[in-house]
Amino acid sequence: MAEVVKAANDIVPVDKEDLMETANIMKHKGRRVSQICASLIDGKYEILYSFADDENYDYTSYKVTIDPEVHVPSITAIFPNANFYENEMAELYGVKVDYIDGDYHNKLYRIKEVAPFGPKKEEAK
Amino acid sequence: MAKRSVVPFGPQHPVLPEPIHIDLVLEDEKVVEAIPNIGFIHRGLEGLASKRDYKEFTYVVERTCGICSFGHGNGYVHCVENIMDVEVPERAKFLRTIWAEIARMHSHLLWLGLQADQLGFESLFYEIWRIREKVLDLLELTTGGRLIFSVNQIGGCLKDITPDMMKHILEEMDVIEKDLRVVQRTLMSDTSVLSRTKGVGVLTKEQAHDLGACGPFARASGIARDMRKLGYDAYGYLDFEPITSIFGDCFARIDVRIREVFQSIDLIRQAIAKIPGGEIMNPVKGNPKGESIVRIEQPRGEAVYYVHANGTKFIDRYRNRTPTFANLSGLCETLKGANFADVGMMVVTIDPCISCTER
Amino acid sequence: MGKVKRSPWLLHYDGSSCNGCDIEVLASLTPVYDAERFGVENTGDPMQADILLITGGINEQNAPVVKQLYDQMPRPKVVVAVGICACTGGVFKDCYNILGGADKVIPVDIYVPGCAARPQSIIDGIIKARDLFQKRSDEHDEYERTHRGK
Repeated sequence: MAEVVKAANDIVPVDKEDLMETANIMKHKGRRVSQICASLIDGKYEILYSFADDENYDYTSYKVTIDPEVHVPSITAIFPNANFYENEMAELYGVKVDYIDGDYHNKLYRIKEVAPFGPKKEEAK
Repeated sequence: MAKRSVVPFGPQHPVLPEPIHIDLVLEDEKVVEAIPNIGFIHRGLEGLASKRDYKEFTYVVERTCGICSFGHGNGYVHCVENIMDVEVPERAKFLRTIWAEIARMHSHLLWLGLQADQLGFESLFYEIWRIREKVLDLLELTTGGRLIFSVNQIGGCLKDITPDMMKHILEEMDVIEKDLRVVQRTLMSDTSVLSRTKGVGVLTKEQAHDLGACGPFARASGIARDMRKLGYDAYGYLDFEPITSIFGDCFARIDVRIREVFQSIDLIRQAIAKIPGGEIMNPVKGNPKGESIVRIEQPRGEAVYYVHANGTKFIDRYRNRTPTFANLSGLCETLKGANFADVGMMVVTIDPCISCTER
Repeated sequence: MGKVKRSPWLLHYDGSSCNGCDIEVLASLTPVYDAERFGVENTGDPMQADILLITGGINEQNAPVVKQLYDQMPRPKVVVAVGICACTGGVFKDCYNILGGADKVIPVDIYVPGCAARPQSIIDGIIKARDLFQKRSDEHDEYERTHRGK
């Protein structure tokens, strides 16, 4: 029987202020951005930043919970490949991401509707 | 100073049956920048999660993509099973492994055919697609569908593979392996194939890691990462090592994928030899509540699934990060500095799956 | 006066399909199913195509593309909608970005059902399209003969 890699797979909450710090630590540990996704849960955005380790398959997802009108910083300065994920969540969910390197300005998917998965107009104002 | 011009690539382009649009900034014949624009197949499938029952949603998830449909279904049911703490019967785990590997063969062969076509090797394209039809026949025999199988459900599998079918699969594997050896010999030693792919579109190991490339695209650059090593389904019982190459060029990607087909044949044989008897489905009651994130090795690489459920029969959020979406950054990087004439082939070598990417 | 029949050329466009029908369209043109034996040929050029095979539903972005491809094809032309998504929108009908089947933007002559449509039914659709193309072509010739004396 082959050996199975025992890898961690956790979801850890972090504050918005600590996001850049966390991303820096992850970069320092040699991890890569595996995915970034936004969800709209009970009127709040939950943004998951997942970092994967290539050596031991460890996987950590940092969860930032913010109100819809709050801006989040872009981590593209640290991880350039995050730009597609950040563009995606800005366009589909209406998350306000500041200073994306390679910002498509809501033209990645070129959909007609504005933030189709985002908060409904009357909620967001 | 060379003159700069922008050439649009796609959406309807002869090298790909799928629509993707890339703006290529050219300096004479050299590409200096590639800006992808997606959205021609964007359906907003993730939004359907709030309109479909969580069990019914499995069928929607499978239709994310007709090529990797088994993997998508598998990733989604894994997420929900994790949330609901459902134990999947051992036999179902092996069945899923067998189907996943047959589906991987079908996907890789499809790609090899398209790649041969792109290299101007029409006869090999037809030969590979003839072999692929044998694989599709096996899928049709065991699941009833050629591309969309709908055999996965939360708690196990809906269909079983009978001993007769297993025997038939093993016989067919021998035939396919024999035919594929000829294809491998041809593709790996043909002068025109070598001259068109060697040293073209190199992605170094560091770049592949920094840009988050995954699957055969990353493995061709020397990153030995294969999510099957996590031991989900029955992979923990099977013996295999990730297949890598050190060159990182288009040739390495062909090499890695063709060797992975042989690896899949080997894994199917191992799984059939070890499959236990018993139930294939554990009944599931109630609704999921909680969240889970799961990684699955798809034919095109690591796919991430995230489900957030709230205790009703409709889930809050279903997220699917598909391998091609992660590989887009790597593609843009390899395109920089490439010859304009090579662009078509380089787009094909990452095995793009646009309907996965845009969902 | 006898005339030589022509082999219609097929143009395949992937709307917002899941790839399932696309690869089945390709499969039906490759060795095992080989639709080319019925005297049709695949092309990538809309200007030279006679039959348009469209897979997948219509969304905001591809609606103008599909319309343009259809307009570029010379008359007479036949449109085949392959798969349930191209017929009605299928499983994605409720998605926010899907307008519906191919007939939302262009007139469809033949509907091929299935998810994914099987090669056998695609070939059936292609044969029907070929006959319809021949019929339209003959009607066109007849019209020219009676009305313009050509």
